[in-house]
Amino acid sequence: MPSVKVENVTKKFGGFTALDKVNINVDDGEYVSIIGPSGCGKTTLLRIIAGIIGDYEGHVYVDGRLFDDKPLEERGIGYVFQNIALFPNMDVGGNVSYSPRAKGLDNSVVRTTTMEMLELMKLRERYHDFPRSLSGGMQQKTALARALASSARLLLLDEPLSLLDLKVRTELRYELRRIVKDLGLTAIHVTHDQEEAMAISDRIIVMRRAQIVEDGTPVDLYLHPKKIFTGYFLGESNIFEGSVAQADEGTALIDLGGLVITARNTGFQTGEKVIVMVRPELIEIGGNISGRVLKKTLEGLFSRLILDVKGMRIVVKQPYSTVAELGEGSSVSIRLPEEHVLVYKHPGRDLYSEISLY
Amino acid sequence: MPKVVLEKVSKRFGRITALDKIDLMLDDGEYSCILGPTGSGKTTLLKIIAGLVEPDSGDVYIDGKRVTGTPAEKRNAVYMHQNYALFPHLTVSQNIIFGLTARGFEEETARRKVSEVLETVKLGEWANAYPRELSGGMQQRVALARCLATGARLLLLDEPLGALDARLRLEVRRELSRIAEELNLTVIHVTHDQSEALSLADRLILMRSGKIIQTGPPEEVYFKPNSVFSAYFVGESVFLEGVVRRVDGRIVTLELRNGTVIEALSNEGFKRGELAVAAVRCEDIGVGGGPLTARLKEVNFLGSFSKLVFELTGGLKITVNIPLPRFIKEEFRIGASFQLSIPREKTYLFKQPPMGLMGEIEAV
Repeated sequence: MPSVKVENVTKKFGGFTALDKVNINVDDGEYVSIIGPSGCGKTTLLRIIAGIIGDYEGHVYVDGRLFDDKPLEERGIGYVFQNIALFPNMDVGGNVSYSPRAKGLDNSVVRTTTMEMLELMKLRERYHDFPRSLSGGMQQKTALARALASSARLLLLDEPLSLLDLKVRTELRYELRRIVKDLGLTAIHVTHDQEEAMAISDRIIVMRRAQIVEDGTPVDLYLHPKKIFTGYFLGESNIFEGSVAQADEGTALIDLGGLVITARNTGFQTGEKVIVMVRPELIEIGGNISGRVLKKTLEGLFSRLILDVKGMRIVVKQPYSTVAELGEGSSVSIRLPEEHVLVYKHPGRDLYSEISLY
Repeated sequence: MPKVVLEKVSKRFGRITALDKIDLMLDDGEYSCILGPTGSGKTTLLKIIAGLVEPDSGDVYIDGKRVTGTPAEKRNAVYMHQNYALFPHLTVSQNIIFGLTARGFEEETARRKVSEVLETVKLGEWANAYPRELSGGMQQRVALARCLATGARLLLLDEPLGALDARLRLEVRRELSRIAEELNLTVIHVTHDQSEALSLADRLILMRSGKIIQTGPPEEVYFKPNSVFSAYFVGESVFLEGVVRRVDGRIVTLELRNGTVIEALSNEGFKRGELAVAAVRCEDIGVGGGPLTARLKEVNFLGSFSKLVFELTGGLKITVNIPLPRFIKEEFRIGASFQLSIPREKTYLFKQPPMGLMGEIEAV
């Protein structure tokens, strides 16, 4: 039963620190995603767990057993590489059936498992095709099928859906999660796609600059991020600098530079500098803050409005039917529900360096 | 005066028809997005406009001038490749100057242009930096500046955001929109990302298998899809196959395979007994108070909205997208029973595609 523990792992490449005292715990049967901007160390972390990268400080445990010196092939891990790495001299069927065959499983079992995985990935007709004749997306699906057929209990997936067309990608992610859950596997999935991470994971680990920023369930990270960076990176947020104009028991008035809003007071003092975050889709239409629509675009089920409110830009997302009458130049009034206004201690540094991706 | 016109443009590569008699007219200053799955012909179309690929037949006009056969550099158009490459040993400004002198600009003129375009892409302070010192998004803006510096008024962008992280993509998207507007450029932007296309485009061009399926402003394509494919590829829809049981003026009654009866509005002349496909946007399905009894099977939280999968009798699955505010307020417990409604004024009805519903969708 695979659980994974990474303890105080630091990895340097020359003068570059790729991982800086990283600790993670993944429970047996858990589906965990690691997200972060490119270069944050997420792939390095995955490769260290897999045993592809060695020579690091700290320890890796799988099921409580120390894995640091365990050879790659004895780890029992299914790994899907970002750059796929299929056996070029084997057809799709050969690639997918490689691992069960190597384990000496019964021919009929090998065949059933292989066909099952090919069926799931809609690759049956490609059984006899060689990797070079497949599109990037189909190669990626073959790699996934191969990892799933390997009977590994721990899957490490590095951007496993990145080469697929968007439509196929969004459909396959639910399939992938379902298979992992049905088979009772543990999965660690690296992606830069936040929506993919939210859709597929039990828990998300956010990384930046070689460190873990925070972890939590998709709902917790999205609605109540502990760090400003998480709120910025996961989905879209309005982020403002401000100061506490008046701190009372329970509520605080926050001055965003002319616009004063109400938030819940979680221990702030009058005069304190703060950062305020509000999700665009949690801002309501109708209220006592008035503004003007600068731009309106359709983004699927939402219309996205950029408003000018006292010289500030506020982004609002509403179901298109509720703002059908609004166009560019329209006047509009909004409300920022205080329970959805998140207030953070100002980090002292400038806001840009706080949320910068790199 | 229309800026770009294509007349019956066809192109084959061996046995594959990449473009099949494409007609297209794009206005001056318009931002168009060519949207379609891999292999739909969108990049070929862009390269033909750029002059990097010659059509087998048909003609291309830019600014009223026939440019078929005219070399790329004489078309007043600039093409930005999907994998734009900056020279790593040259600084930001040297990269831009090189691009210009290669196009025959005097070095002096090139230098003057550099500061101007770097201001436009907000990289004025980075003129002397090397590409490795820049983030992915900044490198992307340098590549864009290099295109802008040529002075071409027609910008042809092939998946310009494809190489960027998802988060960054959103930011560069907004930048791109701002720059195009500021400089009043005509832009043709190829993408397979429908949300990118919806939010950027004045005009959306939806392609599939070498043909244009639908073209129009994003709202029009979104709210008036002309085909099953269009409703599938732009936005998210639930598709329901059934048999027409009644036609009463515009009201068409459809019986689904599980026996459920729904209604749609159509002027397409449906007949009793005919097979049809109904499409409803996942956000237009009503949850709570409707005639259809369904059980909630799955809840997928996606941040600004959540995807709920319901199951009707007979195993029919219906996906509904619920915006975050409602998702927070109400309880959506897996296994619980809900009443759903499919509003007929928001249901699009199509003739059964020749290859069936799945054939139409899976050929993607």
